[in-house]
Amino acid sequence: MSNHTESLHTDLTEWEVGPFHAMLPGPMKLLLRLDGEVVVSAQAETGFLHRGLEKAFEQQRWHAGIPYSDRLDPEAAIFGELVFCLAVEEICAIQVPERAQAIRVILSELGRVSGHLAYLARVARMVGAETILHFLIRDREKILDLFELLTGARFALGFLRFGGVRDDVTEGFIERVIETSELIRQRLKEYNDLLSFNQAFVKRMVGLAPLSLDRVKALGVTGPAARASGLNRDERKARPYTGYEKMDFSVPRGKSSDGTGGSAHDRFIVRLMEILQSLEILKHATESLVPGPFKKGEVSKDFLPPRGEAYAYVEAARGLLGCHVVADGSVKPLRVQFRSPSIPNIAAIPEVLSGARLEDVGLILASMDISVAEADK
Amino acid sequence: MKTSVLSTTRVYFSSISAGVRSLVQACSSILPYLWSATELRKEVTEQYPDPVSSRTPDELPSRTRGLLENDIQRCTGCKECEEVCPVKCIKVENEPGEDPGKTWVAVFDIDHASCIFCGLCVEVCAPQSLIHTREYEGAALALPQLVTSFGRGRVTDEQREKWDIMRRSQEAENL
Amino acid sequence: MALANSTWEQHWRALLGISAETAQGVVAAGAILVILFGVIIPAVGVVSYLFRKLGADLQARVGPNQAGAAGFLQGLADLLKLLQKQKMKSEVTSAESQREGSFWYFGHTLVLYSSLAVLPLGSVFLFVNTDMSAFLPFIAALAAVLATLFSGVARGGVASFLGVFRVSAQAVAGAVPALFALLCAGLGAGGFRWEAMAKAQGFYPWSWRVFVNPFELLAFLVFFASGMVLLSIPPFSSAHPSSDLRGGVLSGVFGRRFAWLSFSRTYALFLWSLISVVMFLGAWNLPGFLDGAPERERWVFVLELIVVLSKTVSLMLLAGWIERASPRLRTDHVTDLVWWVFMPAALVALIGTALWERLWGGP
Repeated sequence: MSNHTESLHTDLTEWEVGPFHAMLPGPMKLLLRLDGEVVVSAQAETGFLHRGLEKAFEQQRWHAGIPYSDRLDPEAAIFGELVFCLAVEEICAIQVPERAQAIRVILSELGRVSGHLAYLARVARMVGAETILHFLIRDREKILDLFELLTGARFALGFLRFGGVRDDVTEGFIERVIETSELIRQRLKEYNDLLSFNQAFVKRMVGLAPLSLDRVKALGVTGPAARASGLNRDERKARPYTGYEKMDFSVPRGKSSDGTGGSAHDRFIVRLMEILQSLEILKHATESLVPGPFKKGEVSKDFLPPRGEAYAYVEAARGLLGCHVVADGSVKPLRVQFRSPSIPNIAAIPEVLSGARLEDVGLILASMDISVAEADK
Repeated sequence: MKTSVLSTTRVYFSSISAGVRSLVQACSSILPYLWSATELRKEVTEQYPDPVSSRTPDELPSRTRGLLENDIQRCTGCKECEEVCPVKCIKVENEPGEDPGKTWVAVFDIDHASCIFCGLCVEVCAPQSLIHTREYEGAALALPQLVTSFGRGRVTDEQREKWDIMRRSQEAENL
Repeated sequence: MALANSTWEQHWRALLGISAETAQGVVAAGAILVILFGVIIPAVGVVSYLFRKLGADLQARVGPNQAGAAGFLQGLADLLKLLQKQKMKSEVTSAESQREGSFWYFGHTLVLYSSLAVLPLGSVFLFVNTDMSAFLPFIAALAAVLATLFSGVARGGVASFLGVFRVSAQAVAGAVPALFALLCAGLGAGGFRWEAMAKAQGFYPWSWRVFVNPFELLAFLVFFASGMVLLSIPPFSSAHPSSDLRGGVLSGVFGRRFAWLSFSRTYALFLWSLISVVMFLGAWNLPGFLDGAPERERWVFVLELIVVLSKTVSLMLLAGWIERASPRLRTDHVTDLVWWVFMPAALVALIGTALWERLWGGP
C-alpha cells in the first residue's frame, strides 16, 4: 500500500450516525471511523435541538422564565427551576422560609432519584435487558405520580416561585414520599440481581470507556460521571444551598483515582449509590418539614428585581448546573445563561469512544448521561 | 500478579460458577411476578384507550394541570393571563359592554396547541375564572380545532343600538 | 433419501385417504403440508403467543389482550399488519440488491421449512429415516445462518455488514461444540437414527439420556446453549438486534421481511428445541403400559405428538425466560464463552460419555 492511500485511510469504514438514531441520547450527529468493529475515532456534532432557550428568557417577564427553566432538561426539570429561582433570589436578596426550603429539597431529591432511575433504564436498554428496564421505568412512575400529586404536572413542574414554592404540600404527600422511598429501597435488590451485578452485564461494563481523573478535571466533567472517576466534589456538600447543610448524607465515589476507576460500571454504580443517599436525604427532609410559611414569592406583574447579577449553582442529577442571571431593573431579565453539565460529557465523547467496539457505542453514550436538550438549550 | 496453573484454573471455574449463579439469580428474581400473591403480580401498564379499564381524569390528583377552562361570566378581561403567558397562547380582546363601565370580553381564545400548561395564567387570575381542568384528552384532527374560544363574541352594531335604546329609556325612567 | 420406508407411507395413505395408485411423492407432499399447517404453524403460533404472555407477566405488563380471547390472535393481527407494510424506496441500496435481499430472506425461511421433512415428531412422522438423520436439521440450521449472512450482505450499510461478520463468527463458534454434543448423543444412543435415539430412552424422566448419564447432561446443556449461539437466539442475539441500537443484520428490517425473519427465527428455536428433546429429553416415548396398544393406532401417534411437542414448548419457554432475565452479551464475549467454556465442556462430555458407555453401557 502506498503512503497516499494510507493517509486516506481506505481501510477504515466511516459511519455517520444521526441526527436521529436509536443509539444516540438525543438529536446529535456522530461520525465514527471504524476499523472492523472497533471505533478508531469519533466526532460528535450537536446543535440540532437548539431552541433559543436563553434568548426566550429575555423576552418574558421574570415569572414566565420558570416554565422555560423547566424545559432546560425535561427529564429532571426541578433543577433548572431551582437554579433559576436561586439566582433571582440572590439578586433580590429574598430569604426562603424553612418549610419552602424543605419542600425544595424533597423535590430535588425526588428529581434526582427519577433522573437516576431513567439513567439506569437507558443503560439497561442499551444492553438489551428489557425486564429491568420495565421495572426501573415502573418505579420512576411512582415518583412522577408524586410530582403530579404535589405540583399538578409530571415533568415540567412549574412549582417553584421566587422566594418559595407555589403551594403547600397536599394531604398525604409526605406519607407517600416515605412509602415510595421505602419501596425503591426494597427494589434495589431486584436491580442488583437483574442488572448491576449480573455477570453478563459486569463483563460488558467493567473497564469500558474509562475516564481518568485528570481527563475529568481537564474537560470539566462534573456530577456522578466525575465522582465515578474519583473526584470528591458535590455541590450539596461543597457549597450547600437550600438547606442541604442540614442534611446528613455521604457522597459516593468510584473506587480509585489512579485511572482504574471511572469506567462505565463505576458510573452506573455511583448512580445506584446516589439513589440510596437521596432516599436518606428524603427521610431527613420529610422529618425536618416544620410547619410555617411556605410561600412568599407570588406571581405579580410588579415583580421588579433591582439592577444586579447573580450566579447560582445546584448539583443536578447530571452534574453541576449553573445559572447566571443579569437584571437591569426592568420587568424582563437582561440575560440568563446556563452552565449545563452535559456539555463536558459531550466533549468527552471522542476519547471515551475511541477503541470501543461498535456494539458498545450506544452503551457508552448512555453511560455518559448526556441530555442533548440541556446541552443545546 | 503471580499466575500459576492452579490459580488460573481456579479463576476459570469461579468465573463460570459466578456466571451460572447470576443467571440463576436473575431468573429466580423475576419468578415472583408470575406466581406471587402480592402486588407484584398486578400489572402496572394499562390498555389505553379502553372504555372499561382506562383511568379517567377524575382519578387524577386535584392539582393536575389539564386543559384550560374559563368561566366567562366571571372573567373581567383584565388581560393579566395574556401578559404572563410565556408562550402567548391566550388572546383576549375587550369591548365596551352593555354597561359602559363594564368590559365585554369579546374574544378569549386559548390555543391549546401551543399551551405548555405551566399554570401561571391560573395563578394570576384575580376573579379566579380561569382554571385548569383535569381533562387531558384534547386530540383534534386539525390544528385550528385546538383553539378553544370562551369569548362572548363581538357585539354587533344592532345589538349596540338596542343597548343604547335600553340605556336611554332607563335613564329617562330614572329621571 | 430413504423414502422407501413403507410404514410411514401406508399410515399416511390411510390418514389422508389417498389410494394406492397415487405416487409416493404426492403422499409425501400431502404429509408435509399436514405437518406444516396442522402441527408446525399452530405450535409455533402458540409458542410465540406464550412467549409474549410470559414476557408480559414477568415484566408486570398487560401484554396482548385485544385480538381474540386474551389476545390469542395477536400474532395473526401482527402478521396481517406486517404484510401490508411496504418498504420505502431506499437511496442507499439499489433495486437489484433489494431484490437480492428479498431473495435471501425468502430463501432463509425456505431452507428452514425444508427441514420439515426431517423433523422427528413421532414414530410415524419419520420420512427421512437414515443413519444420519440427526445431522439433517443441524445442516438446515447452518444453511439458515448462511442465508442470514447473505441477506445482510445484500442489504448493505455499515450496521448490517458488521452484523454479517458477527453472525458468521457466532455460527462457527456455536456449530463446533454443538456437533460434539451431538456426537455424545449418538454415542449414548448407539446411532444417529431418530428411532435409535428414541429407543435408548423412556417416558419417565429417570430414563431420559440427560439423567442416565451425567456427561450427557453436560452435553445437553452445551448442545442447547451452543444452538442458541449458532442461531443467534437471545441472550446471544447481538448479531441480530431488531432495534438499531448496536447494528446487526436485522437493523432497519421491517414489514414483510421482518415477518419472514420472525417466522424463521421462531421456527429455528422450535427446531433446535425439538431435536434437543428427541436426543436428550426422552423423545416421544409413551409410558410402558401403552406398549401393548395396537401398533399403528391413530391416537398413539397423537399422544406421541403431544408428548414431544409439550416438552419442546417447555424448553422454548425456558429459553424465553432466560431471554427476559438476562442482558445481551457482546459478540466477542459470546464467542469467548463458547470457545473457552462450551468447547472444553463438549470435549469432556464426549470423552466422558464414551468411557461411561464402555464401562457401564448396555450390551
